[in-house]
Amino acid sequence: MALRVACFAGARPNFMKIAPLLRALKQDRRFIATFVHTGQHYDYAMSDVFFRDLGMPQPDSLFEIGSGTHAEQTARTLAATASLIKRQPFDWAVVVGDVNSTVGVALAAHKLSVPVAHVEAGLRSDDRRMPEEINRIVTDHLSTLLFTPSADAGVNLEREGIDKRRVRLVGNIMIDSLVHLLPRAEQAKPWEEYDLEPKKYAIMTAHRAENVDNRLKLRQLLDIVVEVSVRLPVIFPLHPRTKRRLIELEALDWLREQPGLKITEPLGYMEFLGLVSAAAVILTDSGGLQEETTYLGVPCLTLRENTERPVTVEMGTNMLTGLDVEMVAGNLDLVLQGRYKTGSVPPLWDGGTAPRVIKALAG
Amino acid sequence: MAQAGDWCRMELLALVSTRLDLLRAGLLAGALTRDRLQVACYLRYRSAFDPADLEWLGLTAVSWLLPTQGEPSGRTAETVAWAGECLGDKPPHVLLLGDTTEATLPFALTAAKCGVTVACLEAGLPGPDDFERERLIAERLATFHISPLEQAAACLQEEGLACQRTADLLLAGHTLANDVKPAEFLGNRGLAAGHYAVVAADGDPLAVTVSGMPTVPLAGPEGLAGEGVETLSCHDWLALLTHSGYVVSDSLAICRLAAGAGIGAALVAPAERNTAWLGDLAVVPAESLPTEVQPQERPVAPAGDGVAAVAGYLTKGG
Repeated sequence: MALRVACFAGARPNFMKIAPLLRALKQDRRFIATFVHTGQHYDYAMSDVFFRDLGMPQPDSLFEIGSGTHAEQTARTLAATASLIKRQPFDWAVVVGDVNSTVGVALAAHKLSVPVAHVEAGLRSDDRRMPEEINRIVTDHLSTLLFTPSADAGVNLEREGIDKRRVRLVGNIMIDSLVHLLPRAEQAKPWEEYDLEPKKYAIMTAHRAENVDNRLKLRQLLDIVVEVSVRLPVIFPLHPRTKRRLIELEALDWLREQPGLKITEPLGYMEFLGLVSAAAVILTDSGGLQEETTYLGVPCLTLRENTERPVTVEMGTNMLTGLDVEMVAGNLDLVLQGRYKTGSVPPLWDGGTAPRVIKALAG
Repeated sequence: MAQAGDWCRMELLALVSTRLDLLRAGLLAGALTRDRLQVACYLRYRSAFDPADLEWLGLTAVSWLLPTQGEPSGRTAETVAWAGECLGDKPPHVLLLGDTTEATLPFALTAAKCGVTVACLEAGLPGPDDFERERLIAERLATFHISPLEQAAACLQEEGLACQRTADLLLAGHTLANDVKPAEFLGNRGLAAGHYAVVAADGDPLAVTVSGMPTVPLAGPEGLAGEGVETLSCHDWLALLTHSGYVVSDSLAICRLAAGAGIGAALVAPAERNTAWLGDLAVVPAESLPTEVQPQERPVAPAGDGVAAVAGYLTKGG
């Protein structure tokens, strides 16, 4: 009998991880795959455009949990997942990443004795101030199968007492999406829309609460983006949270007026991927971008003091700068002079992670 | 992140889900300044405790939840949302967790994500089987771990966590009923202090008798009185328990409460459970019920004041 697998996603970072898994599951007769969208991110620019670009099917179930506090989103996801499981039982609940939907689904599945498989398990920044870190820890400890992207993630899980037999090193599933879509993304040459040339512009993204909710840190971010824009053009897609904070700070109009800065709405995955692949440097506080740039060999300056993806620093093109303008400027100099570290791609980041996950699910 | 010793200047919120949680909170509130500690009350059963019980202990509740959902998943969702309300607008600096119940993990998760420091007062002790995994996760989210027994501290270390302090608040729990004049209180029930046994469990009474003593069935930590069991206030429940001559319970915490009062106790536990680390405590295999228990000699009450130790740790960090 086919295994019924429900794949849950709710926020933009989840979709590029779920997409390759759904594709592989739907091609395999051993499984009946269901796609559940929790609706944590419901804005078209954050959700539907991604579906289109990733070639994902419309969700089989949509929860529409919307925005709210961490507790509200987690509680709504939990209740909706429990309700779904009771109507439509499945053999595995697959969750990805570290957002509130992730832990809400894991809690509901645990309460209803549905085994949970966590893809992208074991990541730790050791910074308990990050809600995402709490989500990761709880989800991992509720999971029956833990799929890790790199060896250090497995070490983290072992340190926390999780049985090794539940852990599978499968590689980075987001790279599966990247490998699948990169040729099309590059072919579209999205940089031409901005009158830019390859390797002669930067991209900046910032959305972490620790950065944008703190006015002092937000001002430091603005100092950084302006400093970079003096040296090369910067494309700065604004996350809705960041945009709200800039409006509160009365800095959005000022930012739009800065020469060298191209402020945009959130971009579709294909367009963004194409732009990242041809960028000279990325400045970000996003976790996923740290991984994508390592694969693409694009220098990445991470605007945080820590990372749950240390393999991208140790092996890849990532550098932690925090919000230190001088450190950013120094590394930017290295990039522009061609002296920045080159990095290499971690093992199993090869576009073949989804089949490895499926093999483990099939037992 | 809160440092131990900073707590005396901070607000503490104790999650109270059982009568024993209530006693711990009452003891701590008495040792600290009362307005520094408040409680959030989760009642799986309405009979657990009520505002009068809080008033007895001088405690203030920020909120109560008697969940309306019938299923565990629904109650968990309800509890997460409620925890968000309790911790939302004016979060405490520290959340104190005691007995492991279905409210423990939802509250610990919500607190940790709100940046509230979590402290476990019963760290390292196995919880009910249904919630064992949740207990482990809640302890992993906690910053401070206070273990009531050395063996529990050792269990914690095996889990890769550190125990910051070993102290048992419940050893002083009996002092909260010191106002009872046993002759009158017990006489009305046809009992004499030290000459009856208490059999305490939530729900149906345990099929246990104690040689040479009449047995009085009592509710367990969640206050769920089974058929034929008198529903009592927390005060009277504590008084009956701590003036008995012997205690049999499926709750280790109740056995420790008895030990603190110098009362012999036996724990009813499944045979496969590892109870070797419980030391001198008599263990009655659950599979052997119904059974008659031979009471052991009245033990010497354990030394040390857990309340002073915990309060001292909270206020001085050492």
